Amino acid sequence: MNKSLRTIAVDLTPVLPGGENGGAKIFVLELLRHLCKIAPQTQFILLTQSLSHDELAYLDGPNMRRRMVVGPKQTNSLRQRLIESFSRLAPRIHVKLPGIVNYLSEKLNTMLIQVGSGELLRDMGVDLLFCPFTSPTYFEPGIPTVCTIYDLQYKTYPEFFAKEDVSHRERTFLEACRRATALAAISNYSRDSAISSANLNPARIRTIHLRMAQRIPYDVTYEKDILNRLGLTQKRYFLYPANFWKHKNHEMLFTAFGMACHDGLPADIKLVCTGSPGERQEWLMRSASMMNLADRIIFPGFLPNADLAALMAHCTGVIFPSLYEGFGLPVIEAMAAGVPVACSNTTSLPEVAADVAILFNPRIPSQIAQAMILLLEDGALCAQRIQSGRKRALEFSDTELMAREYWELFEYSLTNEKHENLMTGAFADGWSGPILKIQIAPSKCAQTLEIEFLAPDWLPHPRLTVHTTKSGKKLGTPLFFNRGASAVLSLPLEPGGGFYEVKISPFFVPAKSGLGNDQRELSTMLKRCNLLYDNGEIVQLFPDKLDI
Amino acid sequence: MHIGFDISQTGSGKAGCGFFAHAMIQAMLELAPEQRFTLLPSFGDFYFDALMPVINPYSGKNVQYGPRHLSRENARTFWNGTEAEALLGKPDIIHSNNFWCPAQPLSSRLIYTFYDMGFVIDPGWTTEANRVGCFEGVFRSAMLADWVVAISEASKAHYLSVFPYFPKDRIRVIFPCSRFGDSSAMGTRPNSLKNIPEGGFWLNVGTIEPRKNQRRLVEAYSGYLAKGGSSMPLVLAGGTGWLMDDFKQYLMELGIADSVIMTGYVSDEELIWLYRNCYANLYPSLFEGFGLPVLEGMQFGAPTLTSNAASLPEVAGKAAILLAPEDVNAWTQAMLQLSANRADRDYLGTLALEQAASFDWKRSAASLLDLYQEAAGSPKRSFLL
Repeated sequence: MNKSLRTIAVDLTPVLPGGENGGAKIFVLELLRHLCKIAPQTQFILLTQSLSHDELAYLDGPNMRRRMVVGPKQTNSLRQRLIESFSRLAPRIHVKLPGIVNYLSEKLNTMLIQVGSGELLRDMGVDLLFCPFTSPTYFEPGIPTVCTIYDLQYKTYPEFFAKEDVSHRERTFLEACRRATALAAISNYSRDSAISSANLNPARIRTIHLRMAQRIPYDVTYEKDILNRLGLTQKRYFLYPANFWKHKNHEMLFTAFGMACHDGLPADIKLVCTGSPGERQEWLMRSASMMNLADRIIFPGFLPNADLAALMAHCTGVIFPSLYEGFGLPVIEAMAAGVPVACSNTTSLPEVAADVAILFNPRIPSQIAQAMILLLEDGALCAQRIQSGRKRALEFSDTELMAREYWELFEYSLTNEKHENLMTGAFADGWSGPILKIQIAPSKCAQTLEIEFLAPDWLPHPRLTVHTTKSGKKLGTPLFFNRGASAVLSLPLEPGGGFYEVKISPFFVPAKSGLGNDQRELSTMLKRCNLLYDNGEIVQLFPDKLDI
Repeated sequence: MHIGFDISQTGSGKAGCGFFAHAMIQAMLELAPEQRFTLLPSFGDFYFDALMPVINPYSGKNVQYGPRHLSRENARTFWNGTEAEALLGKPDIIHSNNFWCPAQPLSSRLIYTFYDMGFVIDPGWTTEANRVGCFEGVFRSAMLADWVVAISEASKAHYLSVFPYFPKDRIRVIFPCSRFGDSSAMGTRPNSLKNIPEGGFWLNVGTIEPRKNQRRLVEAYSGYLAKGGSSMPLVLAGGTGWLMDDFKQYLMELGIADSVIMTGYVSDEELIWLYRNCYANLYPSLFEGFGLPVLEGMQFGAPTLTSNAASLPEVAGKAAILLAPEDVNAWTQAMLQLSANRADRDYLGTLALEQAASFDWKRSAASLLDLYQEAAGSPKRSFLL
């Protein structure tokens, strides 16, 4: 049945060492462990970068191997420069960015990859490309591609991101929508957001929930050391497991907690906010002190999983007032740990929490305060919610089921290839790499491909040559032109469409030619690339209107 | 004293916050020529008016202007930098009027005007982006401001209920005042009301949006017509705002589209004419920090029906008929009674003029100057770990 899914490439180049990728990395690696088990006949090639290549060695197996595609040399020097230039552009960005995927690091990696050089996937005989970190960086026309979409927070809350970051996320999202044969969304909420904002055909995007609730297994033998160290008593504190990102809404939670304390919440009840130390934590700690709540709001800083599990297992309840989630994993983790949950009634949270959590509007502090009082005082309600929560958590713990859902999506992509006009190999700034790859849809009209090149007069090479091939076969005579000149390639196409390549030689790397820092392989500037139909219709493939 | 005063929202197209800052600075410049003022056309990165850098709205020997920023990014860099206080010349007072709250100054006393927090009552009353910025500003003020100026007792009480730990002796009520200096002005009839007799229409002033409650108002008005109320039209003076795209459709459904006149945005002159010549000013708002249309209407003798919610009873005093804003039938009944009883209506007009006189911009500005003196002479709130 799956004869044709013999080789799957998985783009893991966005993976960074340690915890820098947030929850997405944990999800992706779990998914891969199960995918290779349920498809033993399929070869999985993990595309990696040098920074995390070794760390991922444990994934190696009979049908899974790594292949480093971004090497150390490029990574070190260019990465450093990109980080520097990025921090100049966005001085307010801190190391950690909100969201389940760390897009800053992903951006760096995307920029490092030399788009258009070689035919990585075709050479490896890849049948499908899977991009679990959204960006279809290694997309090649003709190879079915599946991307995972996490959330579109940058659309709802652009003010929580640097401007640069918003446009990068937008581009990544649009590229995924256009290039991917099929998409996976981690919740119905994310799926609906994607469909409405990119006008997607709903058949192309499926919800595949995160199913990994047992990531931090609850174990009664956990030491309560952490409680003693933090001065906490069992069942006398609320827990908010979240980093200090703005959309996590800590100021509102503190306001609500302040109101509840004022309205008679017993004096020994505390609020614990996990999350990494940094500027935001410092501000929130000072705020807690201005509210005379310094001894009631506890900031334990970074915690190992076992400590976090112990904190969760022994709390009065988890309170989760986030303004935006693509999924909301901590809600499921709390249910698995057998503690009651109160969470926001927005974005993906009602879908994930279903009727188990106490829901509140995260913009109304009196509602959050009311929810805390219910968690503390309504024993019967909480007991019932704990019971239904355990069942709910079980539904979200079957990682193998999640892997099967992905496998079905891969199969769907194989049989539902999109046949549309598209081109890769050129950059948004107008430069072309050494090879343009063009996929042409079948058409009833006669069609012509027209590409206009413009060679700056300072190119290192005096003369350029353009060869065109279709499925490896040379077409027509080569086109020659000199630097300082422009030239138009006009190519009549077959009605059945197909896959064309336009090779432009020679190419150069500006950084190696003493022309600045640019590390890309470039051939010439591209003014436009159009498809002309004999009925007068024109389809513009470049400049790319979607690349904002 | 050297006073840094945020005038960022006083440009053209100003709303409530802009009118407050505008009236206060005008009055203070007149009352206190001995004080030095640095007016701040740019203040923070939440509100940005691209036209502010090119105008000098207030002048005087004792007036200078703070930095003028041509883009929001420039404003952000300046105000989020650590040098802002020093670059402003370390004023004794820095007074925020646009919801944004700066970092705590080292020596300047930070004064923060608090208008209202309707957005924690019903977040749907504003856009999410605006709610995020406003809440951030108000929360920061509760941490960082040395003094908070509330524009009504109701606003002050709400602030203290949301931030119960805020020192109660550091928040003071200073009422805004009418934007209209000349109470004898006659105003100009709007073109859209050419054929309407003076004293022959109901009036509602304000952007058409959920918080202003015009949906229930037109429902009450339709009940009033159905029950035989005299056929005066209802004039809605204000632009169409937030989430009200289907408002006209709603008027059609009620069958009163022909009796409701929507003027759109009106000029100050036209507004004066409307207040002066309405049969009564109807203001059923669900929530207000103050309620300027009530005070401004009263200034021109408009008989007033308003809501009993939030700050409105304070503004209206005993000079208006107060009704629950959700009780459509009560509004219908009150309109029927008032339309049938001209003498009652005229008496309300007399009371309105008296009530309006109890709000005086000089008194508000003088108490703001007193507050500055007191703030400069008392210690800052400490913000330490």
